[in-house]
Amino acid sequence: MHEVSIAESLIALIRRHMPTNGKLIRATVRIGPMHGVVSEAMGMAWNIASSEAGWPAAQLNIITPPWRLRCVSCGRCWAPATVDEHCVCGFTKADIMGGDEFQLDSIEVDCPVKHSKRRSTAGVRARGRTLKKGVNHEHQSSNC
Amino acid sequence: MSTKVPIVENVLKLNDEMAIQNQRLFQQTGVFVVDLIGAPGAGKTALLELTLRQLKGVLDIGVIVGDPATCRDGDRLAKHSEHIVQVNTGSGCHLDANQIRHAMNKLKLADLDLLIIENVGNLICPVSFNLGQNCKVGMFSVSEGDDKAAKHPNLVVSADALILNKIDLLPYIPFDLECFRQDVAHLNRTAPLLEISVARNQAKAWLDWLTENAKRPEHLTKSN
Ligand SMILES: Nc1nc2c(ncn2[C@@H]2O[C@H](COP(=O)(O)OP(=O)(O)O)[C@@H](O)[C@H]2O)c(=O)[nH]1
Ligand SMILES: [Mg+2]
Ligand SMILES: [Zn+2]
Repeated sequence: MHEVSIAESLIALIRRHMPTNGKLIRATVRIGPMHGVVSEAMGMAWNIASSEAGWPAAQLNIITPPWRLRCVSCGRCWAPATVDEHCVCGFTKADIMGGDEFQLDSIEVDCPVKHSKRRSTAGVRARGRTLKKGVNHEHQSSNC
Repeated sequence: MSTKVPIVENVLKLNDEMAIQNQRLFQQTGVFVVDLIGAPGAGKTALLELTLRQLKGVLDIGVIVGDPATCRDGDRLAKHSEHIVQVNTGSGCHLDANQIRHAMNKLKLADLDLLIIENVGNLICPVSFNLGQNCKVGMFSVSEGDDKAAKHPNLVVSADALILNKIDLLPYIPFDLECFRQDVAHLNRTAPLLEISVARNQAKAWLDWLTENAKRPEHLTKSN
């Protein structure tokens, strides 16, 4: 259950970026399958941690990028179903090119005063299905 | 009006910042730090008992040992060294940089060449939390089954060395050693796989690797 620690860390990190009197609407994180984070557990931990932080309505959008491997022998890049998959060329060694992501991508904030710099309209829009109240989960398709 | 603020920072940035502070203190006092990660029962404490015994007079070694509850491991290790700190994490499934900061304050770091952190028995959670270590060592054992490296890629990928303990059990337990070796090599081409049996007192590969790297830490580049 490291989801609890992760949610608490996330809240502390978000606080650093919150404008004064801002209210958190949504946080988007990108966590690859490498980190063994269970979205349901993460959702529960987030609901508790965000409520304690005073943002009970804040949503967590989890983007799960796929595994991506590159064959050490032939250089082929592919998205394996599981990370232990070998290359079609038969070679058994690969470099991990994706699936190890572990970052806070962005936050969406409701604020009376406009947030200073760092404004952006670009970014990933959540399309994922809603797993539970306040948590969005999205599996990304791959390209190597 | 709502505003989107792009950030792009590591989820555990706060822990990482504390880990960097720990690392500075370790560097200043010249102590080499190993984060030992493995499942409960893999033989981590047994390996450390052996290590403290065998390297007595070669390296001055301290241990920080994390368990959800009890001081049993700390007591076992205290028979071999005065530099032992037990941390109880309660429901926590891993050690974090802040806990290490508190624990290391109880040690005379300047007296140590090597500090080994026995992390809480768990193959997933401890991997994501940097502690300020020079290297991470992932420990598996034969009785856990030959599929455990493939099932825990984060540990295998992040490790600077991997241990397979309890090879004395190979004749008695179905365990495809070739398959295990291949899984490890598939995910991590540089980390050596150290096959040992603590019960039989056969851990030369580990002791050699440890002393070599404690003396020349610049060889390791992966952790932190
Ligand atoms: N057969 C066998 N048993 C071992 C070996 N190493 C440790 N054990 C046993 O495994 C159990 C767990 O050991 P322990 O050091 O407490 O594991 P930890 O939870 O990883 O710290 C104990 O009963 C040890 O005696 C080994 O090389 N072979
Ligand atoms: Mg132990
Ligand atoms: Zn190939």
